[in-house]
Amino acid sequence: MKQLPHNEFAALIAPHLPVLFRAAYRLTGNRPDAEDLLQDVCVRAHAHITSLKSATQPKAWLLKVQYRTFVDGIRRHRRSPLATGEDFDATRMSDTPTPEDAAEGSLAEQRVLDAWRQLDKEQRALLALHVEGYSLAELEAITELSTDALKARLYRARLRLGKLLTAPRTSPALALEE
Amino acid sequence: MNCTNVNAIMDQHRDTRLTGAERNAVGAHVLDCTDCAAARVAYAELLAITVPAMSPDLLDSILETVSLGARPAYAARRGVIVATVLLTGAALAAIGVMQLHDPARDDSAPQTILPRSQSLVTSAPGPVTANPTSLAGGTANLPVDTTAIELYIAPVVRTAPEYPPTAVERGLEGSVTLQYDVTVTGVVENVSVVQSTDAVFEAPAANALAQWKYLPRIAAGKRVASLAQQTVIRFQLDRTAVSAPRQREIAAQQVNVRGLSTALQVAWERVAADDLRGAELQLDEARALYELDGFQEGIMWDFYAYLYTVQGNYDRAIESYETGIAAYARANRPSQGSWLPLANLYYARHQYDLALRMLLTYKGRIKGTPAERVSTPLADEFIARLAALGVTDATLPPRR
Repeated sequence: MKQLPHNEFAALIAPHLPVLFRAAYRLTGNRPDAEDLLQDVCVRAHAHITSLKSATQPKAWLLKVQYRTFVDGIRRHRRSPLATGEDFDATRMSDTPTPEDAAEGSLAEQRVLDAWRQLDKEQRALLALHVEGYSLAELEAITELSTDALKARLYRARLRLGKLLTAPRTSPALALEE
Repeated sequence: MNCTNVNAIMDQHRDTRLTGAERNAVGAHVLDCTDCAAARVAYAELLAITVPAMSPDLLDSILETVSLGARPAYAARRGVIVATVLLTGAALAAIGVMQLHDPARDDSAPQTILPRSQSLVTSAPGPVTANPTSLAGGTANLPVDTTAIELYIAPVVRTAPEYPPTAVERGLEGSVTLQYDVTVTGVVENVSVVQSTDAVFEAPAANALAQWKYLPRIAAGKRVASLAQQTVIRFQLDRTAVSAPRQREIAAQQVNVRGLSTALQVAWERVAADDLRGAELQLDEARALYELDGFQEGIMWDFYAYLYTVQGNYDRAIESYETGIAAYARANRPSQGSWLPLANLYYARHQYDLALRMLLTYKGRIKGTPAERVSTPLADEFIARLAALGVTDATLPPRR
């Protein structure tokens, strides 16, 4: 493979990085893991640069690589698969929240994150991309699933996460936290 | 409404854009269906999680990882990029679109575009006794006086001017006041300089303004031109030292801003071609693609509201304006006058109390930005119109 000049690769991926990062953050739930995932995606993209260059929709192409990288678990770095959740607190946007608000916000997000970890990777990937605003048609292109399969899996993922979130909190770990 | 409908709504991202009736139906279903209730909780919780901005160093670190060693090419151009970006920021912040509105001078050959919706009832403004003052009981079937629908020009693409290099060398700052017309399709024409602090700024300011794109004004259901508008474009240099990470952050923001402007321009072109649904889809896509700050969110929702108003979907239009106003407030930026068309929509639905409340609330919040100051006479005129119908501050029911 002929190596591309550095700036050409940068120019190819730079416009899509913010989008990829958003999706990666949704997938992993924290910044370090999101950045790791994005690094992996770019390494793969660089290795398949000719496909990227000839892709009519480079963003969709990159998202597809990211989806597969995440779901297939092909990772260079072997970080703990458990997200720490620290980043959620630090980056929560708010209009001058009271301390009570802040405490509640982080607890609520911690709870979401705990439930999130109990979904399988594909469920997380589908929900993350869907919440990011991608349409069913776009998701079909990214995941190569049929519309029906996609709808069914989205439904099950939402339902499972919702049940985890609305279940009575009896686990000792959660009780301790609160 | 059943589980399939509720899931379809979620699948299609329509949750936040339901009509009042749809929302009520979903609410009723969810009360009885624990599955759908749980799914909606999951979705809402995920949406509530804030995604932080990408680290400005990420591109560099990725490039290091793919290990070609060389410095990224954009480093050499950094100075230029920073200058333009700061100006973009400054231009967005400093440009007040002064709508020196003069209905008498509107174009005499308007295009009829309203009403679109067949289900709406056209009627003259009703007596105050028939004034539906609250949203209780649903608003979907309120009679709408479509002839009363007015929309003011709204800039959707604001090209930043080029900072004249000679002015940068001399450390010169300044401003240019320009006059221009907005055509029935929203194109800027007949740009002329009213005054400027230095002639060097005049050509760049005029050239930039000529590329701006507006959503055209709509009066009495017709698209009309808006003549003799004025705006001020300021040229400001940022002399503070900018750190390298900050420079990269700015460069990343600029990529984002550029992408967003292009997307908005495409949406605008679709409106000009009367492809309103296409424009809406374009906005949906842009929202998914680009990181928006509160101000850009506000512009986006104003754009949606405009589309929905033109389509005769007033419930959604009202909801969109309200979302936009909230976004501006979050960003601590003045709303771009969105409260005026919002009050107008309430007025057209004979919800005079809500219209007045809207006008009074936002008049009270005017912070002296040029755009909002100039809108004050419009608000006053509107308030007088309501007073003539017997709706005044004194007759407003107390807030619940």
